Amino acid sequence: MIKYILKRIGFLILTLFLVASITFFLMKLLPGTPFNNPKLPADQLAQLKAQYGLDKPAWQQYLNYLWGVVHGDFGTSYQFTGQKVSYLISSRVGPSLQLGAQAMVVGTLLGILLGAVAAIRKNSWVDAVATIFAILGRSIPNFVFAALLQYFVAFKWGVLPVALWEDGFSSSVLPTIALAMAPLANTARFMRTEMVDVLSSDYIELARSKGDSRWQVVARHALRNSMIPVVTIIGPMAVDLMIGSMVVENIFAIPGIGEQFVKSITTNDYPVIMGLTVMYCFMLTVVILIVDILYGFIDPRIRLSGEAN
Amino acid sequence: MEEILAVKDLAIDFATYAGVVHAIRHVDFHLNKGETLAIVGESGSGKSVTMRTVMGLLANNASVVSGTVQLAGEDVLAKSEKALNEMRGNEVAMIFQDPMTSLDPTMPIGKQVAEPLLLHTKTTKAEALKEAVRVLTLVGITDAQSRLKDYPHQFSGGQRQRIVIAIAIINHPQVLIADEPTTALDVTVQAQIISLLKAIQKKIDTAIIFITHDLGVVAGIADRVAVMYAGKIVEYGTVDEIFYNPMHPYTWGLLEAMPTLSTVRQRLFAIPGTPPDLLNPPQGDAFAPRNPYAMKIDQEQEPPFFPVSKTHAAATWLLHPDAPAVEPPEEIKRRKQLWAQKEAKR
Repeated sequence: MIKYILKRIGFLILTLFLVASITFFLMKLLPGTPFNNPKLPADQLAQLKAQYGLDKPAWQQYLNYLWGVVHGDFGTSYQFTGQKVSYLISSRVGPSLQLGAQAMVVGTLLGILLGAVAAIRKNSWVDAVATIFAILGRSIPNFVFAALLQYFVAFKWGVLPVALWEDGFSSSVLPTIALAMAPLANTARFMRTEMVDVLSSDYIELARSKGDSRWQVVARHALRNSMIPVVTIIGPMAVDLMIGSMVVENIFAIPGIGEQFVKSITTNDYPVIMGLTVMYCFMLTVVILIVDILYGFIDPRIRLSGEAN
Repeated sequence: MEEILAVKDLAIDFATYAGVVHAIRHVDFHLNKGETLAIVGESGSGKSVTMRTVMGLLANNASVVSGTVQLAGEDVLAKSEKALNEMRGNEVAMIFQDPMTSLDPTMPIGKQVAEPLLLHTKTTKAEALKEAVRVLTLVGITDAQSRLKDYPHQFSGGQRQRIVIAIAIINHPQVLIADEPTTALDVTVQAQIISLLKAIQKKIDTAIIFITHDLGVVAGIADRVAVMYAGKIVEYGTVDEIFYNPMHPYTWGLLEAMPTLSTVRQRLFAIPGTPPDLLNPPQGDAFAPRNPYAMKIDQEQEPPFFPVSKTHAAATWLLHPDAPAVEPPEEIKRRKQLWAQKEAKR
C-alpha cells in the first residue's frame, strides 16, 4: 500500500509539472500585457517589463519560473504590487476550501441517502420525488440556486446572512447548499441505479434467506456494494465544485479563491494565474488519489490488486 | 414418518406487463423429517418459485392465489414479515445456484457465515465466529480459522459453494432448500458437494429439498422425487419408482434424455417442442402438444393423479383404466424390466 501511494505521489508531481508547463505557454498566448494602462509612456513600460523579467524570451521566462517554483517561490502579483502569490492564495483559500469540503460532504451523504431510499422504495412516490429532485438538481445551475436562496432565505425571511464572510459558519450555510445541489443530485442518481441493481443480486437474496430484514439487508450488504460506483464520480464532482465555487463565491461576495482566479485572468496577472492553476491541479490530483485509496477500503477486490502491482 | 413441510393446492400468479403468468398451478407435496425430496423439471417449470414461496421470499409482483404452506405446523403464508425474518435462516435455509454471485463481495466470509447465528440467537460476536470456524471446517474449508477474514473472491467456486452451505446450516435448520446447488460447478466438484450435503444431512438431521434439472444428480441424493412441468407436479414417487417404473410420458422423456452407459444412439434424445406459455396455459394436459402418446382427452381435460403405489402417482390419462396400452420407449422398457426383476425378487 505504501509503495502504491509513493508511486502515485510521483505521478502527482509529474502531473503538476506538465500542467504548469502547458498553462505557462497558454498564458503567454493571452492577448495584452499586465500593464495595459494606455497612458503609460513607452520607456516606463519597458522598465516595468524589465523589472518583472517580461522582456526576456518566453523559454527563459519559463525556466526562471520553474526555478522559482522548485524553491517554493511562486512570484509576486502584478495587480497587488509586491504581494507574494503564495500569500495571496493562502490568505484566501480558507473560505473556498471550507465551502468545497462542506458541499462535498453534505452533497454526497445526502445523495447516498436519497438514492438509497429511492431504490428501496422503487416506483413509489418517494422514488418519484427523489427523481424529480435529482433532475432539478442536475439541470438547474448552482448560481440560480444561489440567487434563489439569497432572495428567499436571506433577504425575505432574514434567517441567514445575505452575503459576505463575516458571521462564521452561518455565512457558509447558503453557499454550501447552493454548491451541494449538483453533487447531491449526481450521487442520488448513481446511488439509486446501482442500489436497484444490487438489491436484485444473488447475495442480497441469500442475505434475506439468512433472516436479514429489508432494512438490515440494506445496512449490512447493499449500501457498501452500491457505493463503489459512487466513489468513482467523487473526482469529477470535486472538479465541478471547484469551478462552481468561482461563480457562487462571486454571488455571495465571499473573499475566496475563485473570485481571485477570475480577476487574475482578466488582468493578465501571470504569476497569480500560474499559482492558482497549479494549486487547483494539486487539489484535484490529491482528491483523485484519495478516491483511489477510498476504493480499496470499500471494495476488497481492488485493495488486493493494488498491492499486487 | 413425521411431516415437516406440507404444501397444499399452491397456486401462484405473476403480474407482468404481458399479462398474468400462472407460474404455479395447484401444487401439492410434502417433505418428511430427515428425508431428501428432489424436485425435477426444466427451466420455468416453477421449481424455484415454489421454493421461494416456502422461504417467504416471493417477488413483489407475485400473488398467492390459493393454497397453504405448512412448515413445522405453522402456515408460512400467514406469517408476518417479522415472523418470516425469524423463520428464514433458522427453521428453513437455502443454498443457491451460483456460488460466484451468492456471497457478498465486500464482506469477509467469517462475518457472512456468522451472520445467521447473530440474527437468530443471543450469541456474542466472538462465539459466533468460533462457531463459524467449526461449521466451515465441517463443510471442508481447510484452515478455516486463518481464512475468516478472507473475501469471497479469494476462494474457488467449489469452496464458495461450501461457504454458502456453511451459512445455510449454521443454525441447524429443519428444512434445507438446495436450489440447483451443483449446476454452476464442475462435474468433479458436483460430486463432492453432493456427498457433502449427504454427510451434513446425517450430522444435523435436516430434511433437504433438492431442486435440479439433472436426473443424474437426483439418483445420488434423493429418497423421493417429484417431477414438475409447466407449474404442476406431474409425477411423484420414490427414487426407484421414478427411475425404474416411470409412468408419465414427460418423465419418460427426461429419462430418455439422460445419457447412460448403455446409450448406443448417436444423438441424445431431446423432448420435442417447448414448454407452454403460462400466460395462457393450454386447456387439458399442458404436456399434450409435446407428448407422442397424447390422446383426445389430453387436449380437453387435465388428468388427475392416478395412484400407482402408496408412494407413487402420476397425472396422465394413460393410467386411466379405459386408456389403451401403449408401448413406452426402448430405454423406459429396459428400466421397467429391471424394475420387474427387482419386484419378482421381493
